[in-house]
Amino acid sequence: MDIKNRCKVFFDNDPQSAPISPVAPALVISGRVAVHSVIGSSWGGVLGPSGTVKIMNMRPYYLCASADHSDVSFKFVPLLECGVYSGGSFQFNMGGNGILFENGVYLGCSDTAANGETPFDVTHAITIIYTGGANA
Amino acid sequence: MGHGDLSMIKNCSSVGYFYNSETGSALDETENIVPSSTRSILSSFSFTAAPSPQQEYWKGTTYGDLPRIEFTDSSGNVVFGTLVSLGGGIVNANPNISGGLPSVNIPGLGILFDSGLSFRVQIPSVDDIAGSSFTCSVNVVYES
Repeated sequence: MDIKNRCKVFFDNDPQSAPISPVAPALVISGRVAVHSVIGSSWGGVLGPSGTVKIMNMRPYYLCASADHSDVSFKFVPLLECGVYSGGSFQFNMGGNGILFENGVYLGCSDTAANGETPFDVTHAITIIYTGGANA
Repeated sequence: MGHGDLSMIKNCSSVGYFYNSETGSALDETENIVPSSTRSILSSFSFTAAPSPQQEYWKGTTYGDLPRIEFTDSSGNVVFGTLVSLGGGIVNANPNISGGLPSVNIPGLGILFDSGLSFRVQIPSVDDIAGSSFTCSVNVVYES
């Protein structure tokens, strides 16, 4: 299991249903896994930054190494551009042989925004590109 | 595999498409790049876009309401998808903006598609001022 293997894909087009901490994150990829890249898509809709709503109010997501929301291996806000009625997709490449998850990848999200304020749910798709393991 | 062994490396192929949607009508295009029962590897793709001249935007709040590209197998099963990128806050105040996902590079040897490789571009309709349009282009690099 390394970058020389062909990659597999986990895709979720409803990531807003992911468990919110402190609820345990959900197993999405089982086995020994290397995560090489994550693509996130967000769209502001009517919730985009306007007035007192800040762009850093977007809800962060976690890739955890266990069903413990504090066991975070990768935390990200899938945000390229997210204004009112605008948005986009962003790719996070891990480099090297990726981030190793010995016992599966668990997906969850934060109960607060990156700035500590009330988060807004504007993420509409998450793709995880990995080797090893299998979609749970 | 030694450093001089290139047996695992094949030349890639590429395809490019250009689409234009008029305000008030949805765009839904599927392109079959690799036929069914043929294996292929997705290496990279881009999805760039621009509304022109202005006053076109989407108020959707779910994935299915928004402009997007999806890669599918020969049975039409979605392997993954992404939204198009358009910035600038309230789009109709920013004519001729452009955006997109310039290039997604799949790590390593790419993503294996066991049977066929297709993509589907969906641009939902908007009901704003007539005469606006939305253009986008897709490039896909793959091995087969």
